[in-house]
Amino acid sequence: MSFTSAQLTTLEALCRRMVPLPEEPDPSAAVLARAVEARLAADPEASRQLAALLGILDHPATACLTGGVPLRFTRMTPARQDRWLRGWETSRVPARRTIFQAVKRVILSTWYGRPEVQAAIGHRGPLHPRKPSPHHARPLRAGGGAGGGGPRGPTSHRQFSKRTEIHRPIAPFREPVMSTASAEARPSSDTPPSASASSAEEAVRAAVGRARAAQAGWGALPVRERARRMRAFRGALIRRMDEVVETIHAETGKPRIEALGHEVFIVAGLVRAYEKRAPKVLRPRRVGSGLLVNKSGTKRYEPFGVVGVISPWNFPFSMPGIPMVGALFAGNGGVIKPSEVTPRSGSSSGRSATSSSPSSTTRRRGGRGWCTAGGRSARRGPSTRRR
Amino acid sequence: MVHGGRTLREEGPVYAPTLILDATPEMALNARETFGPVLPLVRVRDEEEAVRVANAERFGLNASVWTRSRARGRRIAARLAAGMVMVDDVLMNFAMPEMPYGGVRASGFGRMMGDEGLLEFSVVKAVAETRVALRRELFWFPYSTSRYDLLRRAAKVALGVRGRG
Repeated sequence: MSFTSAQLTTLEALCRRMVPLPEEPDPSAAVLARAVEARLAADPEASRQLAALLGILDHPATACLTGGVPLRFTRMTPARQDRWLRGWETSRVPARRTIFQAVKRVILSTWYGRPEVQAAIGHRGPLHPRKPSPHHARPLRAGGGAGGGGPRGPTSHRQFSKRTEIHRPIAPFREPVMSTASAEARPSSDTPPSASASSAEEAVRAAVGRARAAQAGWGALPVRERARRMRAFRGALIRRMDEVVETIHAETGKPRIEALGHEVFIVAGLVRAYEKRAPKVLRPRRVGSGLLVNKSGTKRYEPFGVVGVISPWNFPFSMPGIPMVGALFAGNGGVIKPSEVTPRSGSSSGRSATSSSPSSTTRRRGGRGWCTAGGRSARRGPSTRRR
Repeated sequence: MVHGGRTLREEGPVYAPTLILDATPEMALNARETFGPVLPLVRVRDEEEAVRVANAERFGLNASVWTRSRARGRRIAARLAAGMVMVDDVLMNFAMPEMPYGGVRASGFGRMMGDEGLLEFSVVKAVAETRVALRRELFWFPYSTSRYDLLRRAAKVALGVRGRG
């Protein structure tokens, strides 16, 4: 039998408390809940029992009886959920402890039954393959439905690995390889950009393509993880601030204290503020469902994809940097077209992040999505205005 | 003009800080973006006129109110057509990362920085779920008169207004 969506939601919430999974909107918890469901599908009796338990656990009356607050499990804050579950685990009533252990074991054994989890903890799997394999040793199918499935073989395994690519906590984040822009398209290069409009357009297309490729992985990261990597970028920027200040000073003639205060400080300060705010602001939000009491509504915030910034010369570092920081925190890739008057300051925002940083930092560069497109190319073609 | 109005040759293409007294709102200097250190002063009679003149502009990015009274500053700030207003200073709101930066009217679109700066680069998706699966949902076929009556009663109870409504 399969669970109702309410039961699955409860199970998903329980998975989240039992296993360290990334926060929403990451679907790992849902996948794990589905895997538990699929696994029990082979045993209708166990499945029915768990379904009944899930109904009980998420009933306001249950919480009222055991914790004193008429609040559904799925509506509690994570901290309260933990406290409440601890109450079940250590209850004086044997039945409650049994229920807790049953739920915990079915979730954990499903979790640790997954090959990629075993690989992550260094477990190489059962000593010898068992035949016929008991149902809990078989690859788990996300997606539910009829349980079972054939013995572990190449076909079913491939199917499995395909479905679990969302298991990010275990699978390392693969960095899309960024090819460097052609020399003529890079404002940071010493070669002046070519006057050919078509090659400039190609360079922009290529830059957007790279940003798009990088964004796929970057946008899929949980906001907290993006914040962690942006923090590393902040560190790299401050380590190299003198260099950035010199570039801005040389290009605009503005005093160094302004280059530092109006540009570097502001961008780094924004990153610092967003490290705290972004996970809060971009968190999915439950909203009322009007009179449809059996439905629930959630608002989720997703990135657009690739954000292009065409920026002026007056604040050559912060004007492109500020929107790009916001775009990156929100999960977008980005392409900056700095002013043709101050091409180096604008691109130094990208460079200070990509080239300087050690490998751990460069990874945060979903900002590898942060590549800079050629000076004048993003505009209508070649411009002759250059100081 | 009381000061400036020339380029500083010795320092390259740099314009000297320039102050223009007795400017009028109609001057091109006021109607367009100067993008330089040029400050035209328009004399006004009172607060009322000051707000009216300031709000007659096409632009509305960052406004500044200078006054000794904090209450007056706040009052004028509330009335100015601008995306940002700074009382007794200029532009320092730019250094406050949780303040949304952006203008109204011809001064740009959208916001960067602040919570709004994150939402600006996000697209919201509304995801609805069924919490409790009913055997038959309200608008699933087949319809029936009894269901209509049920909905009618529900409309009365849940949406009707008692009394003269």
